[in-house]
Amino acid sequence: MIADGASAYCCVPTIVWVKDAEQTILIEEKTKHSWIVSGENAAIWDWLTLNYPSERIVRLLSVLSGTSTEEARKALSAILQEWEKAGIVRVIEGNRRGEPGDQRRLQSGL
Amino acid sequence: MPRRPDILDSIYAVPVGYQYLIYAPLHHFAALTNELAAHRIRDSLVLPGDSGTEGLGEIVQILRAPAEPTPLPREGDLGPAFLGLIPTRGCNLACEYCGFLAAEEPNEVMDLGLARDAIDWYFDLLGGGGLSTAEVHFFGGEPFCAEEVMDFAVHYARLRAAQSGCAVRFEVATNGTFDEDRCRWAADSLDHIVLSLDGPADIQDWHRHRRDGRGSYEAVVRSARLLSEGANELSFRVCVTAETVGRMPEIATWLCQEFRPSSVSFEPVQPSAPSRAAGLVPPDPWVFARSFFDAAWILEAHGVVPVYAAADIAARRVSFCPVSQDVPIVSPDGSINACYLLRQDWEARGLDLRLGKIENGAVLLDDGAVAAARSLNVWNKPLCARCFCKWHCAGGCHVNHVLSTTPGDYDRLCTQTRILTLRNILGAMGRDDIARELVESPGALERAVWRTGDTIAEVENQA
Repeated sequence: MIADGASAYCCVPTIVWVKDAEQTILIEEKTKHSWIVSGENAAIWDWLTLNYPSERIVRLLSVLSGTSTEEARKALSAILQEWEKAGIVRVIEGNRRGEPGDQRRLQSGL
Repeated sequence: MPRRPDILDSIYAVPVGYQYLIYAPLHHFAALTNELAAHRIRDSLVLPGDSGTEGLGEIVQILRAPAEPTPLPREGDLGPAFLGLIPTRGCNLACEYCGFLAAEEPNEVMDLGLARDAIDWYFDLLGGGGLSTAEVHFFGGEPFCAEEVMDFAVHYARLRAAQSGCAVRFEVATNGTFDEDRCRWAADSLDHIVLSLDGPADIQDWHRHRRDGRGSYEAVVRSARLLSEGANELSFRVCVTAETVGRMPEIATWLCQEFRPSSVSFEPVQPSAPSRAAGLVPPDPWVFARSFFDAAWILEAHGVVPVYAAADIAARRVSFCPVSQDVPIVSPDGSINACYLLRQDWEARGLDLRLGKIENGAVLLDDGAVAAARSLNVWNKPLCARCFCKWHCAGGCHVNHVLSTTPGDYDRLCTQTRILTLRNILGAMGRDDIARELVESPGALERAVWRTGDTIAEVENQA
């Protein structure tokens, strides 16, 4: 899974998002459930939507938060697990790092 | 230091056909009078004790009342108007007129740590100023050729702004050849996008093609459509040559029909080695100004603001550009400069616009260099001293606009700036009809342009 360094994630198709200067609002269209992400989490969401590979996100996050690469990797892993539980992102079965993927998928092969 | 400002130096009288435009930018005042009234107003202002001819008293009263402070060069601590970042000098296009193609600077990409240091320093500088909005502007090359720097800088500046309790705005000048995902990101993340688009396919693909020769039109138009749907402010920058100047009205119509810009800026091509090699030369200034009039009316009819940057009558400034406004522009090599143009270009003009550098996280700023940059202002440009455009164009670009020192010896850029500033003032007065008459009368237009000085004290000499 996330911690084993091999999963890739995609956005749940029914999630829409709205960005403003301070935060990103995620809305599950069917249930109307919403989440607000800000700060570093808003940055992670942004980079995921740009289909950035995990190592790139880790590197960006490390500089953003002023932490080591390892700490950034753990932080990313934690937030993706949280978002997976919340139903914001989901694991793409069988899509492991290095395999060709759908361009719309959020590649985060940690 | 500039001499003590005399408010009479900032009240102007410019002949407009059979009338005079009395213009006092620091009083936010403009009026059209006949020649006799202009003389009377002059006498009332110049001669002590003269209370003004009946009927003109109100104008004289306004002009004698305290005005907005005369713009002065900056002093004291560094107070940047914004932070400039150059993510890279590299670009995926090879525009025919681009002077950056011959850059001696390497096309390196800014290190993320350097971007972080620059943003930290900028927000620390703002800390004491109580500023409510910070601003970060991205310049190039093409900033999106270093997209990671953009991604990082936007989020890091937001984090710092949140910590500082202020808002932050982002502006980028781009060629718009990015893919759809990146375009949507730009629309969602940046506040103001200045997109270079020179016109329909035949012009765009001729002027602004890719390095392999393929055109950029399709990609840029797709981006322009997407950006038209976003919440961002979209401006077009159109580079005009002698060959395309006659098509400015057509370009204005096309841009308004196809997209939703807030403004369209027409700027004549800046002569450079590549532009000369390509045979692209700036338009005749009189032709450019007349074509701008026609294009501007089309834009305004669509609710779009026409822009010729030097003729911005909303501005009251001592410098046209970031130079002398304390704006630090950080390059990928860590140098902090006052100007985003290439170092080789300023050096060719005998200017050193380096302010300092960021090295290993430390910012080393040269106070002497900051003072030297601040001294590049309109107070030190003798040609501008008695020109009615002084507080708006401030003498233009310090690098690309070399001014004569002889009063009234206006060059191509001054000529078009004077005409277009007149147009904008008359337009703001609701007198487009007078502006139209002026532009259709070559003799009247020349009389308005060719003057050794515009101050009201000089009316008699010119009449």
